[in-house]
Amino acid sequence: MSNPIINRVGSQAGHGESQGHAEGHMEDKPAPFKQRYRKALNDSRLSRNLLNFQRSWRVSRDETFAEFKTLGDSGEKVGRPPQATSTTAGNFVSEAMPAEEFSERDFQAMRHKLASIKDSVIDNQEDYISHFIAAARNNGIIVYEAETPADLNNYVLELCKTKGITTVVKSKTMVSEETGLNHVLEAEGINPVETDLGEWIAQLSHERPSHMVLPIIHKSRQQVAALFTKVTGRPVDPENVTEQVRVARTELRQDFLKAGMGISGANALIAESGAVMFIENEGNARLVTTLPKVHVVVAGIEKLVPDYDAAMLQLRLLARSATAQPITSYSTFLAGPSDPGKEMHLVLLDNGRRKMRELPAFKDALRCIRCAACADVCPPYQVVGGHVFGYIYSGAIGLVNTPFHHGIDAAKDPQSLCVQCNACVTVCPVEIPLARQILDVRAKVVEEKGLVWYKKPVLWLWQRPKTFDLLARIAGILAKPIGSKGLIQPTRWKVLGRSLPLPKFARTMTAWRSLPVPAAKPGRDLIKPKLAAPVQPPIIPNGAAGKTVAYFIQCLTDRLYPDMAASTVEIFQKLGCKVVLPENQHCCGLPNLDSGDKAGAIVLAKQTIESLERAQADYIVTGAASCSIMMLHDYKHLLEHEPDWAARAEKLDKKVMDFVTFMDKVAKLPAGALSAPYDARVTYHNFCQSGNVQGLRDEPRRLMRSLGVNFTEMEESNVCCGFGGSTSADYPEVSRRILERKFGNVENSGADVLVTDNPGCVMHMRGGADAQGRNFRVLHITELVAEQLRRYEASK
Amino acid sequence: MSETNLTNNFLKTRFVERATKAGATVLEVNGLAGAAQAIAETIKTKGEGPLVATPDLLEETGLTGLLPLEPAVDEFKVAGSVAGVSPGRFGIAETGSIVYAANARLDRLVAMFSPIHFAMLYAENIVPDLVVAGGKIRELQVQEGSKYVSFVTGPSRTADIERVLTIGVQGPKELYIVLINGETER
Repeated sequence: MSNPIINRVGSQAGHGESQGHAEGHMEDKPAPFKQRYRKALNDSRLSRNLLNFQRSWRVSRDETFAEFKTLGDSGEKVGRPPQATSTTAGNFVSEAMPAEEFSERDFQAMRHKLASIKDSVIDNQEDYISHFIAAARNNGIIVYEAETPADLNNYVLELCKTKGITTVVKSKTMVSEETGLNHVLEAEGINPVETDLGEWIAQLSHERPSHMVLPIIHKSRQQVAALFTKVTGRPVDPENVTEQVRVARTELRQDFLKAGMGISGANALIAESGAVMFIENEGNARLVTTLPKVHVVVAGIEKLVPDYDAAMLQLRLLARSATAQPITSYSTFLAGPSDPGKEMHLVLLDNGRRKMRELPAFKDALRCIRCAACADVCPPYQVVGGHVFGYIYSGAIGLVNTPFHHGIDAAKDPQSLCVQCNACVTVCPVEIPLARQILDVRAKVVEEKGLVWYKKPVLWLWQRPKTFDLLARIAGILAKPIGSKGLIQPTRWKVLGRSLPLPKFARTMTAWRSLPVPAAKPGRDLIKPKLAAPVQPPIIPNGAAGKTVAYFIQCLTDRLYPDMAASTVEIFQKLGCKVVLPENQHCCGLPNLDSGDKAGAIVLAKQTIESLERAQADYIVTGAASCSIMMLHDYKHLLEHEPDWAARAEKLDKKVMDFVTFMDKVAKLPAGALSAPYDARVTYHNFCQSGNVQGLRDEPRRLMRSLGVNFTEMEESNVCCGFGGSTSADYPEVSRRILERKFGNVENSGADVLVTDNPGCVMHMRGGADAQGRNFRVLHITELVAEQLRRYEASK
Repeated sequence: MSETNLTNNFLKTRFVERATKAGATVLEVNGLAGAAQAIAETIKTKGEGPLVATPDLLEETGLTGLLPLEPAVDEFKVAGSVAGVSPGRFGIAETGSIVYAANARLDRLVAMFSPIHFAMLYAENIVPDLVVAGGKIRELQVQEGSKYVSFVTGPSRTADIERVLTIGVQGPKELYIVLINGETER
């Protein structure tokens, strides 16, 4: 190897570092997924670092946005005095500043605006590209359009060779990670030096960045010190971060001064002027773009924005979303070579971006401004980190763009880690429908690679309700003797006083989570006899009295929690509703959609639509928020190629709702209406999609108040419990650790009862609480309401 | 007090508040003499090395004769300095940023490569927010042909190692904004 830095370091650095880099250079491709997954699970520091990071990021990110919003809402309008108007506020208030600018101070309004600006560029992509290129050339920038990573790499390599450049300083560019530029240069004896601190550390450890903004968030200061000691040959204090940063300053200065070329990325390409915007905190990008004689910008075509106004809006959103700062230390606008003898090149990369643009389901992802907020709220990312949750690009956006940049094989496994909690969608500063796009990638993977073997028979059976019904009843009868209190916990099974030797996979799947016993008699059998009874007068005045409710039981409730189904009907009846049960109801199709089996999901969606259409009712209510969200938010996308069906799905929108919404919007019980003595502290887990997709935050809390229970709020109530549909089967270790995060929050709240609004969460958390001997009960919201109604009646 | 003064005071207050929050130290002074005095006071305790400014901008600072400024003839001179002084174009109240438009490499290096940086800003040159600033950069780049325009907000920083905020990575470790009350004397 001719690379002095790589030679200085040798092949290993720090403790717990990656193995298998015997040749002393970074692998061309990341290690196989399974290997990366195992390694991440074995690194206990990784998930701890990431948990602390996610928690503190969330708080400070929310603060920077709230602060901005406050400035806007107070009438002070950031820098503007309260009473001043644009005509009296001095020279520097733009006369042209439109009134609508003021609404930007709200995150939602801001992100919506930036998303629509980026859309206008995406929709007229080629026009913007040619306009930008013309303006950039006019500024003296040499522009090259690279279609493939090899095109980009070769261009830079040839440039180095032609000019006899042997040292290149780089500031952070994800595009060069995408193309693997460093390997190509190294192989030809050119030494690329990363100068962003995190990127430099990653380079010295022969690793890739695990986070787009914080490349070495997975590393500890002790690991960094060990690495720096090796690099410099001098001892570096393992506890002193300031000293470690000083090492980088001293070491990199030499490289800055001797480099013949600087390579930088770009945060925005400004079409109106042909200028490049880049932002940073360290000051290395300013040196990279100033010191060497030759400067090369590498950027994806998605970085285009129309003008400076859009760039400013992006600045406001980007720093807040990326590092929770109002603005980074340096924001630079570079419109061409800035001094005599300086040469500036710009390589515009396609690598699948134009293909993305042609696909309606994916083109929104081209809005991405690479802030990594999607990773910062992602529960599975917190467990496994960016080397696993993603490929070169990590976080939710990485699951979406990897198939386009690096192929479906690279995307196949990481995408399956997504729990579909939609947290990413709530913080994305450009409104990318990430969760839905990940499902589309998943469907594509299944289309090309087929389903995992064990899902095939399950999903096949799932689409055949009659056969399934029969088998489920038989399973219920067979399972009864091995269950206890409705749960099965294999590690507790004993033969002659001795535990059974369980295979490892069975332990991994169940040791931390008991499984529910399937019911011999499903919920529908318990409900049917009750439906004939005449409508009762309501036990308490409420807005639902006299209405007809069609009850969609939901598959899990029906088969695993028949009593929950019966309680739900009991509530409707006590509120004075007439209850009907839509015939032939089975499953909304979510398990299939979630597994990437789009065709199966469509079959079940149609069955469900037909069944619900026939119900004569004012409302169609389900105790499973996951199903109503599927019907309200996913059916239209799922059925987009069948407009008749999409229209039929849309017709149901007015009637379909989840139980919490029904109680809040229809029954409307006032606070304390159902107060009755109940000696327990209750906390609430927002089923992630209820909060993140449907925006239900206050509604369940109002319902709690109407029950008059002793309610206590837990931290991170909106963060996923780890069930995630198929995730809990595919990645039990991830599922388990996310559940532990949830349980930690529950226990810190001091609650005795944990309530939630989705049966999937109930199954996961109840099973977990049982297996782990936790000190709280897990209830579905319908169970709590039914209990409280009984207590209320008893107290009358 | 006239409305323009009210506005300027408001912008100045907000600017100082935001710049301070970003980690800059604001030295509010009266006139160039005040600026020179504040800089001289500050560097007393900062160790050895010359105080540098770029050859082109030496005159523009208006500080020659008031301070022992030396021309920053190359990057080594800048790297070996105790501090660099550069005149900022304007400030942004929303973010507490100083805006530079420096085409010459050495002009920029004084603000990038010196361990301590003094940014001179006339208080009357503060704009309210990024929206207005965007319009001004357009003017600078499209009309005036400024190639390299930068917002500088606080000192160089990193949080790459365990998210521990550390000041002074590749850029200046200390940023002083010399905020000058009084007329621009350029």
